[in-house]
Amino acid sequence: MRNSADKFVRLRFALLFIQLFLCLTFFASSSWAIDPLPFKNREEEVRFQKLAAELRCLQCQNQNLADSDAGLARDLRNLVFEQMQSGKSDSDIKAFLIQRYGDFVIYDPPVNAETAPLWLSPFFAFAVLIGALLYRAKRSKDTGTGSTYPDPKPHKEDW
Amino acid sequence: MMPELGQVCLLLALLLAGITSIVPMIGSYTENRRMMQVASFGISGQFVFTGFAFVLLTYAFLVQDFSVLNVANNSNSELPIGYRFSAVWGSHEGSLMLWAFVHTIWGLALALFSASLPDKLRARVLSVMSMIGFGFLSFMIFTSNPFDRMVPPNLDGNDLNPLLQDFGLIIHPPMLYMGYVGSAVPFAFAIAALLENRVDQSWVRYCRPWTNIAWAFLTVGIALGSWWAYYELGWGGWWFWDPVENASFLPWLVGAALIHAQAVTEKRGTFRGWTLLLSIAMFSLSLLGTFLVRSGVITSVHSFASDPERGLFILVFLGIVTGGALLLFALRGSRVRVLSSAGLMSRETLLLVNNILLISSCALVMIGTLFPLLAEALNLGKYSVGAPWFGKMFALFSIPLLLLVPLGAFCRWNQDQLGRVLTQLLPAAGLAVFATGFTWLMAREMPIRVVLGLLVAFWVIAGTCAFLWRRWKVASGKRYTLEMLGMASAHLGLGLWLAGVVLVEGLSVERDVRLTPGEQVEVGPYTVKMLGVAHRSGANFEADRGRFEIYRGTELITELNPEKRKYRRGEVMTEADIRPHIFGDVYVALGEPLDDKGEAWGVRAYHKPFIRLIWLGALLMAFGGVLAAAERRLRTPVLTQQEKLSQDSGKNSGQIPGAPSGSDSNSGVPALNATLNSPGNA
Amino acid sequence: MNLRDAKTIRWWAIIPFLLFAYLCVILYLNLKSDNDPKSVPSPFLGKSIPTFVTTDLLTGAAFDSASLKGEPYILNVWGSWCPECAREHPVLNQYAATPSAIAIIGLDHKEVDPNDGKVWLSRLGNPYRFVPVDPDGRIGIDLGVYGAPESYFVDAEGIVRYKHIGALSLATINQKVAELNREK
Repeated sequence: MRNSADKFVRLRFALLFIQLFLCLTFFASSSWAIDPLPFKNREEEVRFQKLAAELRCLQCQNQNLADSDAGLARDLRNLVFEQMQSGKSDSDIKAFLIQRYGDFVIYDPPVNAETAPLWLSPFFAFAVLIGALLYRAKRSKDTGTGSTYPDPKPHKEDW
Repeated sequence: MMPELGQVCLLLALLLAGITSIVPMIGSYTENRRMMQVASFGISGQFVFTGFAFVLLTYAFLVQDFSVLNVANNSNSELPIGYRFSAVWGSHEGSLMLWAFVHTIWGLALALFSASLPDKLRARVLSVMSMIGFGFLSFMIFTSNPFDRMVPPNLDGNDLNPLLQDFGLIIHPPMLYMGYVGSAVPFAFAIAALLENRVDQSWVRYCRPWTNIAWAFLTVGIALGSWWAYYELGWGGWWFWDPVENASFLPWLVGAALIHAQAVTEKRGTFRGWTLLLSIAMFSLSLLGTFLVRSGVITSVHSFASDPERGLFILVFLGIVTGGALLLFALRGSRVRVLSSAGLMSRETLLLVNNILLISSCALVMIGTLFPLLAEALNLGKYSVGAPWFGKMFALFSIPLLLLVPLGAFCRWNQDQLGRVLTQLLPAAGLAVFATGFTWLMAREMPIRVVLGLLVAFWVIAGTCAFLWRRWKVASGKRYTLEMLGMASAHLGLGLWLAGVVLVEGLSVERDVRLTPGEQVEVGPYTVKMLGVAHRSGANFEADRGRFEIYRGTELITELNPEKRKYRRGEVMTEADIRPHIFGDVYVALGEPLDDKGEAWGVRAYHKPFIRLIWLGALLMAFGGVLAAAERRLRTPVLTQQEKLSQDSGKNSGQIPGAPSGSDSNSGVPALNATLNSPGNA
Repeated sequence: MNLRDAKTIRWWAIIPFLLFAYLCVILYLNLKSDNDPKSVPSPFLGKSIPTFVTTDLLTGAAFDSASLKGEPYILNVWGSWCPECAREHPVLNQYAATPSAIAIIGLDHKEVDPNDGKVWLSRLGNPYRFVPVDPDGRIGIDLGVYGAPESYFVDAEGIVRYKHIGALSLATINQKVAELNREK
């Protein structure tokens, strides 16, 4: 039992190191996701909030830019804001970030050959199940069972 | 000494679980009653020893025994007493202890309330439950022992993660685990039924209340998690499609499908194989969720410290349990096909479509959650799948489902006409359109998607009320069974939930501003005025406490006090303050001081209209599940003469399902028994 | 209603098992691989490293990263605020002292006070040929940096051959540099 405790403690420290590296600012400083920015109007603010919610904070454990405390998140928020102010469109800004960080930085995956399994599988599953339903219905019709089943007499508990 | 006693208890529980897995199972095959009776004793014993171990762990936290590693890592001498209880399950090891304990609670309940079950079925069900318990106990004892000692002991502990020092942590995990673990009950029933090669209506009838209650707990657990995240994390969100959240959502979706499938199988005898498969799936997804959260393969704010070794153990366990169950299903489950002659338009079909949509949604959530893993394993690239993707895909599949909700109750079994069903619902449709129009007139600036979403929500609510109304007027004798009321409550809850979701997602307002004392910001119909920020000390933290006045127009509603806390452990936490109201919350969170004097602060204010409807809806859904479980007809199933005969003879495999008869239960099929009452009929 | 029991096993009944088996394989592969779910592969792999212009921390002279083209180098991103960088630094010193070492360029990333950087280097040693500064982190963003330490192994044509997340070890440096030289 003692050995597993030691190993456990060591493993915890190792993991802590990793977390420390990757999410440094969470422990070191108290920067926060609340970043008042000088928006020109309400539309701009809403547009910014929507965009920030679609972008991923790479330093964090699965948080978007809007909710993250991390230093990188703050930097990226400022960058997004600046680009919005200089007239870039949403897709421009996203393309800018994807060019530097890869598709990982966007929470809405692109539609391409690699992500085809992702986009198509739910429809495929649905189609298979509906197909099974129709197949079953057809089979019971074909086997000519008809309906030897008399209409159930309504009963007080039946509904 | 106490922790060692805890270890001993766990080992004893493990031993009993092992015995109870094997002996009653053998007894069920050799028809040895003594061996089968070991099951009750074994299950009770597991409860006693696991429970005692749980109590001992709690004791270690209460007295702050820092020689226990788990206590040292998750508690602190300054931790307030309430949180010492919840710290018991605030870590990976502790949460496993909770899981194992809750598992024995369900086992005990099963043993106590299954007197009317045939002996063989009962023995096998309890045996399967014990096998699962054995797995979890071994996982805990050998890889994640909460009673590990720390030598030499720390003088003080690390303290519980401040995020977890909250009321939500006290209730959310127990509720959630009751749901997760509860799904082991229909699973055990399914395995027992497959082993017996006897899949008929009676086992589904036994199963239904258990499944309903487990699902209800899961609903409450998820709703609590959502509510907790909302007020605790400080960003006003109630669902993030985070992998851990999705992991709890998968068994919930399958559970919802299972509830409906069980209803069909119990009343009509069809879908037996499908119901079996869903029973296996629900628990398997609970296990999958456990794996995802603890193995480190996914990234989440909610996940425990990851350990691939533990992950492997769970994966192997999952493989054995689910793989074994699915193999058993492959060999035997498909033999029990019952071809139904139900027409294309019938309640059976509607419920089947309901199932198809729910399962497709489940597949959707699972694929979205696991795709990043798949993509990496197959070298397709590194992708993130998050809220934008899930939101639109899930909406796509839920909308047809929601539109169909009111139809089921109005549609006859076996054969009906779509026109007839829709005609009956016309008033409800009209009411929904009227209500939507009225709402839109009151608030013209609503985006179109909110209006459409509300239309669907009103449709669901109106359709459910239409059913209740029709029963009131038309039914003679007993107007409402508990089952019907359960259905109505759950569907109403669904409608309310949807209304809350569309309103919050479409109309919420968020402002991040810089405020000095005296300045204010508009957020929705409210005005948030800052008075100032002062310092205060707490039990194990230092805090900056803001004072904000909330006005509606010129009327002062309340004062909110959000805090920025610095815990001695090191973390900095934001404690938002919320003014809750059914029509909309006002939510204020404190950011950072923006000048040297500490007068100007970053402040985030939200208006969250109708967000409470989301959790109210969920509670109604859970309530509905409990009501339906209390249905008298299900609680005391009385076997027909024929069922008793066939059980004693033991030679029928999945043959003619005996219609439940007896004094108070009649599914309206008196003809069935009359024409097909010989056991050998095919 | 005609109720019939199929006495034969249906072929489709094995599908759930097969799907599940596939899932387990995927999960197992993920578990066994050393992939950190949070490490992000660089989209610049196999492409030219973005160029930047800034000043050098120690000399104050202008620094244009395009001037590095023609020889392979390691671009190491560090900051005095980063404890992992301090842990990694002796390895860099050790490597820089070897006779066949290629140049290491140390990008001082998000340094609030340049003095901190200078003090840190004087305390821990300076293996860098140049120390370009990146006070606001924009250069880092252009490179796709999301934490520190991170290191880019760039060949003589300016193509990024490998990006390392986290602290380097001597073995990794030697291995990757050997690969860089082979590519020539």
